[in-house]
Amino acid sequence: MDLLLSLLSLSFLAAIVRSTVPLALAASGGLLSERSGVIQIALEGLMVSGAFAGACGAYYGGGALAGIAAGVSVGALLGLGYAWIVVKLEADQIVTGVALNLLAEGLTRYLLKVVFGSAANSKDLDQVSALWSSSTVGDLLANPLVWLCILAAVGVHLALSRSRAGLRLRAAGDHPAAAEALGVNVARVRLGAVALGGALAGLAGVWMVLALRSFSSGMIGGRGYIALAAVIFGAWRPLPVLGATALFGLFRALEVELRLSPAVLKVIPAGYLMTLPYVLPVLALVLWSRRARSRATAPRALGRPLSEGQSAR
Amino acid sequence: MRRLEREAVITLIAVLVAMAVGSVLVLAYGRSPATVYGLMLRGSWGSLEGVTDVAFRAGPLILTGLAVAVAFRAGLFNIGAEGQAVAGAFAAAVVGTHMGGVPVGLAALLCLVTAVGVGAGAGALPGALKARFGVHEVISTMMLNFILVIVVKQLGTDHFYAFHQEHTVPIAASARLPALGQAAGGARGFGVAGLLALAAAGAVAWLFARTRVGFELRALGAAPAAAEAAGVRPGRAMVIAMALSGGLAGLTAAGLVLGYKGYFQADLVMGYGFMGIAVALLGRARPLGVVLAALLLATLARGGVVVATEVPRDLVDVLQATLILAVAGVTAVGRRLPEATTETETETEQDADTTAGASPGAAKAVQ
Repeated sequence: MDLLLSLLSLSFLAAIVRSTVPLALAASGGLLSERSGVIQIALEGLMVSGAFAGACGAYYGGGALAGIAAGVSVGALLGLGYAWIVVKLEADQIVTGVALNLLAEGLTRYLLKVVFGSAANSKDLDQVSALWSSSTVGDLLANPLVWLCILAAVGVHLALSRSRAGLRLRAAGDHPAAAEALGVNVARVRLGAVALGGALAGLAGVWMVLALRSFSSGMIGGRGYIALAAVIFGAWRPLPVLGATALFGLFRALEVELRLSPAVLKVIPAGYLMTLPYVLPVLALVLWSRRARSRATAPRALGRPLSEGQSAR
Repeated sequence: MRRLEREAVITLIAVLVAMAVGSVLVLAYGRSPATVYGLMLRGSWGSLEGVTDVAFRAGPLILTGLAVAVAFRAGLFNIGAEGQAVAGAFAAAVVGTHMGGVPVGLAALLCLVTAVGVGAGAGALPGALKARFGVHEVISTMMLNFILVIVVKQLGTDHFYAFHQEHTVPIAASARLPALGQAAGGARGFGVAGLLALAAAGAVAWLFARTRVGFELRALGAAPAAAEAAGVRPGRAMVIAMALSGGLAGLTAAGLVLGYKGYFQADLVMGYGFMGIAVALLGRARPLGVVLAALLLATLARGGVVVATEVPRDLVDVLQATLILAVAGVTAVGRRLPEATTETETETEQDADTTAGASPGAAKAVQ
């Protein structure tokens, strides 16, 4: 009964939004990259790096804005670096992406000791003002990042469907050879899309840092991979992807709420509940394949290097 | 021969790139790279204790490296060796505690069969999800890493861990595997578990070179469409590849549980799975290459412990990730060079499944 009441409360709504925002930002970033034809398995690493840069920025720059600037720039730069390796050098996209995730995890732990002298946590970010807090629904409504997240998600939707740049981006992902023939510089479009996506993933990391008011290693905890699962579950279309992140966010909030309920814990130990956020994306992908088996929804040139498309012509 | 030379050059460049990146980080920490690298080398190969420690670490690294390599040859990228190893080692330790009274060889064998079985199951599941539902294995194996580590922790705390400890109660003495280091009074070293890892490398080489299953896996990895046309059932091959992969990862229990502490603790196992990715890529997914790469990364891992007085141990994780990136990048560049192109063409005739750091199957769209 207590559980039911708490699930109907405003604080539960706040918890859903709080866990959806980082997924939605990262998934929007992943979507930009994948629609341009570049597999984006490095979302996790981009989030980790963005979060760490955000913590450094906020700590030394005197507030959240500096943190956001730092996190977004580092995300964009790393995204660009990743894109350069896989688009220009044509290295394997999945191997490179996974390596980037491992690199971000190790490098931030190393730099944590260089910058903050600690093995596990940054210093508490007391510089971050109450404007950026996300405890209650009121906080969230006043939090500029929430609105920025909505703007980003809707913006990606509009840009992809309505704008000239969006058309070029989709062309790069679906028919790169044809796009080249029409004078689109596919490599440049892909670099731009992945860098912009990296900026959004970096911002997702900053959100985590501002919400928890410190950086700790392992804090992203697979959210990058979950965001990518949302991109696939949403069939690479912006609004369904946004819906998928809200669904995964809901389950993350539900997991936390269930773990706080003594009645539930008597039946299921906390540890098993904690697996929910990781089980559900996989289940979602299983369901997705049943639903979407008949129609091919992935960008057609996803994961294919440019030279392959040219030689196939 | 030309191919070996080329791979050696690529590896050398990758190692140099990683060392350069590492140097920057060491300098950022206010230490001298020469001191740190010197210490790494002396601490690993400069003393008996160092050498036995490298030999000890190489065993599990060969196994996780083989695990990633086997899947890779079949066009699958298993980044779940971490979770598969944890689950397998935990299961082996739990079985091991009930082996009192069971004869020496049999007790260890039962533990290892359990470890391989649980690891294989943890690998086969994402394999089946990919085969049946097209769920990309990179996502499912990563999610499974989190799930398995959480579940093992909960199971352990509820039922199997020693009172107020983060590890299981010790396994029966009859289930333990002897190692040379222990005979000399040290805690660890090369022993039965190390020999098992080498035997596994030999078995994988035999599998790919001489068996029908091995041929089917290679065919699936090299040219999925052609393989299917030639009668390979891709779904079945995927599950087999992932089960083999997970089983190899589970076998790390031999060195880490049966051959070392005699109990399971997550910290003993964690890290080896992710390092296996670097081992497999550096070893070009070939058994001999994996053994050599495992020695290199074991040296690195040992070095990380030794230099912990100078710089954070996490330097090793950075070096390892940089190695993967550098191998992937340098291989790609090498492929694009004109001389290398002709070389690749002649080479494809002799060796149809050449992957050279890139996975044709894994590079397919995430869907």
